[in-house]
Amino acid sequence: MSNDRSSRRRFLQLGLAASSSTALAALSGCGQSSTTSEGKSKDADGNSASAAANKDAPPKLPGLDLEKWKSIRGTPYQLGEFGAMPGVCNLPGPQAKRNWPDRDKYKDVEKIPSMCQLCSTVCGIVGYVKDGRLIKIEGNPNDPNSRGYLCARGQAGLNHLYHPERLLYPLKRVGARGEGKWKRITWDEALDEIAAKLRAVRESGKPEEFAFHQGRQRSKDYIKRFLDAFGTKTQLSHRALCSGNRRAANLTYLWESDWDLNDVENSKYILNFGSNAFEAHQGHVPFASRIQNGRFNNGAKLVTFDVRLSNTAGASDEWFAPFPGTDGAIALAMGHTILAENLHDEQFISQWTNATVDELQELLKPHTPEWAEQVSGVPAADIRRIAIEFAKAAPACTTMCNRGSSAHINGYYNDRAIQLLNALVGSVGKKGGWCWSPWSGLDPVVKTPAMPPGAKTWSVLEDPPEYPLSNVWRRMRVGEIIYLYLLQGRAKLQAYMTYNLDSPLTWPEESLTQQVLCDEDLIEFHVCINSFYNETAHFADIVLPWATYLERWDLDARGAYNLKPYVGIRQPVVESLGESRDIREFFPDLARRIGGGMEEWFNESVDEYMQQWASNVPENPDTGKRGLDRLKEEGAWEGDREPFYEAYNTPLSDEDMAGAAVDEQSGIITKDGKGIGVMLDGQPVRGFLTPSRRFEIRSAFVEKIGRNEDCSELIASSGAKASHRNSQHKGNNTDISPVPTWFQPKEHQSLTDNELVMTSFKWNVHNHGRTMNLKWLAEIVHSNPAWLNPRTAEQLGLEDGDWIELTSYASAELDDRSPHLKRDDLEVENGRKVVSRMRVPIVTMQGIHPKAIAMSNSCGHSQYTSVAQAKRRPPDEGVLAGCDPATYRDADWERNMWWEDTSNGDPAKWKPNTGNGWNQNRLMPIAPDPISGQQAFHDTVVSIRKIG
Amino acid sequence: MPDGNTSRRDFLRKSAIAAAATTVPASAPADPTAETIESKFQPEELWRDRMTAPDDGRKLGWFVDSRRCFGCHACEVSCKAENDVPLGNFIRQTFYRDVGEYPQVARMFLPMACQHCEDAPCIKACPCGALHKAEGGTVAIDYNVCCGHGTCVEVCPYGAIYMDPVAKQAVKCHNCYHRTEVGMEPACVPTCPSQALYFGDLNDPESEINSAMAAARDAGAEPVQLRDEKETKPRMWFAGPAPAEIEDSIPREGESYSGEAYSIYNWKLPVV
Repeated sequence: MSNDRSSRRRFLQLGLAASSSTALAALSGCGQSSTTSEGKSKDADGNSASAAANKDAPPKLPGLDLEKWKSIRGTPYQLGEFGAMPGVCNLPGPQAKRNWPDRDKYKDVEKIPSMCQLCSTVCGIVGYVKDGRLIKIEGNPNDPNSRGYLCARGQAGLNHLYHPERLLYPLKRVGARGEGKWKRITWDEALDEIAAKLRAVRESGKPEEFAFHQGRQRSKDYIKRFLDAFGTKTQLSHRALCSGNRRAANLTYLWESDWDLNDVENSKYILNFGSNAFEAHQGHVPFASRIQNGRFNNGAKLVTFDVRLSNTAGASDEWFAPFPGTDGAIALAMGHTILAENLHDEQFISQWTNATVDELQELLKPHTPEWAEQVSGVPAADIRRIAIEFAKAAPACTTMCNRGSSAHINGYYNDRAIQLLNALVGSVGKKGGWCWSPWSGLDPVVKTPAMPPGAKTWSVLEDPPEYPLSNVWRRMRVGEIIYLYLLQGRAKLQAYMTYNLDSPLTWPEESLTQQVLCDEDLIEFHVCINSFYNETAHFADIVLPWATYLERWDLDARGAYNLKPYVGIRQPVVESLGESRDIREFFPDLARRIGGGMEEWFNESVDEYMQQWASNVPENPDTGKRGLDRLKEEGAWEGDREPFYEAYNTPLSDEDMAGAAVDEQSGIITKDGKGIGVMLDGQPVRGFLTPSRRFEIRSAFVEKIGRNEDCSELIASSGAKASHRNSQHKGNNTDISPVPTWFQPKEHQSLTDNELVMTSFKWNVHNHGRTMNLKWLAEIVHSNPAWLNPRTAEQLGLEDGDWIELTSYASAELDDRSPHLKRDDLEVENGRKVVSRMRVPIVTMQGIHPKAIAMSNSCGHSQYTSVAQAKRRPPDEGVLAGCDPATYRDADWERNMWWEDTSNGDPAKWKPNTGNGWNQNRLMPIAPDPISGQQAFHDTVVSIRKIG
Repeated sequence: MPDGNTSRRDFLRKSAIAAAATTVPASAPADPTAETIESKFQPEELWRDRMTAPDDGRKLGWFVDSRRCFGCHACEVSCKAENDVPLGNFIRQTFYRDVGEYPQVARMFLPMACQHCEDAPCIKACPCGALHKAEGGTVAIDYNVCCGHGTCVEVCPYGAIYMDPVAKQAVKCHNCYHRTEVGMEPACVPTCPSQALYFGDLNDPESEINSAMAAARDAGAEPVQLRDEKETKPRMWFAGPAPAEIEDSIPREGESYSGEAYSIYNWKLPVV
């Protein structure tokens, strides 16, 4: 057991703490008393337990009711062997609080700046560390994007780091796959086994049969390094489950960026189609805080179109609930109005778009507000009024959108229609308008150490030929089809490495995902890298304990709302607990064991690598620190570039023009066969980076690339990266409209009374599959009854809290457009193909469209710690093999978790606001937009039937 | 400015301004009668000194700009982390209310905590002598003295105090004086992404809280107080329509914040 003992000491990262409860009391940061498992305790003043017990005799005071005093006594918390940890409630044990709050809590603390990663917004944080323990997380005001603010998730980081059910040791499966039987193994054993398997894949001549599958990753450089050095291009992601359509629409217009950054802080009018920036969004805190500044400091109006009243919709100046998926129709009708009212920006359209006003009038002619009212249900008068208000605020006006409009079968067209509005009123690239930045992430001054040449393999999983825009500008990929393609035998995986991924919960068709993950013929070997035992780990062969974001290194940044790039650092605020390790630590070791030359790319230590990567960060004249040292101290650095406004007007210099050729007709300027700009009023300027060097309302490229036609000339005159589709795409031709348009999925055109369209959403205290294990967040939201409009409920004879059975159906539109998705195994009911059924309670809400039903994601975990399952105790010893439950327990949740569901699945006994909810993805069919491949999370037709 | 952000929702403005002209009164009939509450007070000589803050020239107070709040719960989780508050107990909590009928619906948010009343009933009722005014007027608990009688909970008009389930002592917002003394802000303030929470010295004309209140006033959102007919002179002001709409969800005398406030079934008007 000495190994066990030393690892526990390592777990604590504290030499003698275990032997001294006095030290613990000081470490606990609140100066309050601590208790050991033996029940001995001392309070901060060093009083012994017996002295504290004497306090049971209360002071004789007037008005004191001695009987009452005795009756309210509580049972002391039982703590683990090593006492209380921050984030594990160490509120008073049997003794009273004494010196509280502790005036010395922040004495002698070390402040370590880093970056959050409880969602992908990666806000700057500061870890307050005392004696090797993290005692509090705050926002980092130096971060130019988040500016010191931090959401509830970020504040719950202590729960993440010091979670008693966190994985600390590597695990090897001992039962059947998916059975949940494990044994603890050493890192040596784990890496040897993984290396042997990966070496065999490499030597098999089919390196593409090793797939790396990330849920969320912020170590892009290192994963790419590993995969390229290995020689596989099969890197799978979740992008199509997230943002593919918005990106594809932006790329169609801009080429230069897939990420619009709406300059809301300087705006006067913000027109929001379905984005819930106040709760979620990839730019959540930086974006939301600027929206509020725009509204309350700059007088902006915020108008939201959303099927469901999100907090963003609920806090907007106006909210409209369109029928699901009709955002694009409303946007086209607004465009119609803007032209009809003569409120368009004639100059911008003629100079900077590749369409004329006449063409636009022709294009938008049929899309009247009355037409949009018919499909969306939003009154034509409101559409007209909002369009006029928006246009009158130009150029300081912007649209914003995200998954609400884009996660649809017609999502690509929704987003193109929405973004068009900015071009019509000339707010593109303007201060307060619809902007973007070419440096979407890190400031390009930072350069990673030399990278291996890119792998050249091809896999149908990474580059499905049916989705024309998924990979032509960027590798967006189509994540949601991979398990289906594996099941169809279109690909096979010898080795599958999952990383920070929870696909059984976050992917559509939970049962299909589980079935494929469980099948050792389809996935021969599965290594899961994660900080917690989640639903993906449950189907692994080896599980590696991943260091948390509070124990890792990265340089990182997010779409910068200051419109200038920056560099932030993620650095360990404490040493890794247990034997958890980051990929930056074990990939070199793994590469050496695999060998065959790939180890050559892993010569630097983590520190050397980070030093080199950050070496161009300039000196801070005040501190004399530069490079990594500066970042370690300040957490982030923003250069002094100008914000990226109206870059298309930037004049080209004489140097730029030397040797350049100007096309007489189009004005496009090329140099060495590559586009560099365009003539504007006789002057050479940068223009847009599209083939026409203009904002491309009409895209010849998407039309041609959809048909696999030659686009060499278009690509050459653009200033951005784009490629043809792979030769494997031949024969997979898709009609993509060159101009904005809109269609309605077939299945939405005829709904019966008990058929509704299901929409999904995210809560402000959760990300998708990675936060329900955090008790302070789970306490706020742990369940997800289905939202139903009271009128609909009444029609269907339902009342608040009633239970229903939901039946979900596959998309008829996709049956036509995407025959490769067709499934013969699905039962047909009332002419629709049944995907799945699920029983849930309803909550009637005024804030939802009467033909929609909403269920959140994030709920319904079957693994991922007892907290995520709303259980006071771990359900199964087996899954705890990689944890260290003896080290400490969280007496707080064992005692105080008030939302545990005791109904045993009996709807009649279920109490509202208890339990851990339901996995909405059990109902969702695999439904990619046929153009970009983005999963349509908001289109599924469901029927409902009252039960009980 | 197209419409004016203070207008938010026209259908709300009417009711909100009518109700919130100067104060947001308690919606229910004054529950235990004032007499009952007063009967729980100790004789004045036992609390007179404790009701007087050490004079350091400061008057600490709160301004909650509910127009900006979007209900993100960051303040509450930061507070939980800072103070290790057990599950099921809360020093602060954000209340939600959906107002209106489809399709005219808005969602209101109201972050609530101890109001640090100048004439604090909890101090008057505390039999142990633990509750007192600390520097700047912070209503604080001396844990060398608090022995968990719980009378403070019975008299707090805002339900802002809880009894720790194990320590059997009262716990409430203490303005994070352990942080402010070392130059930090209370844990809930700097994290707020909507910039709805302001804490500071009302005697300092330059303070951020005074400028934020003045700005709200200029925008037509006159800061109001909640239940000030209780005459406890709370040190917290609110701008926006949320206090009037949500008042009936806020705990009262004898109650404490509870996890049930998070139930989506409670975002609606309480069923009578």
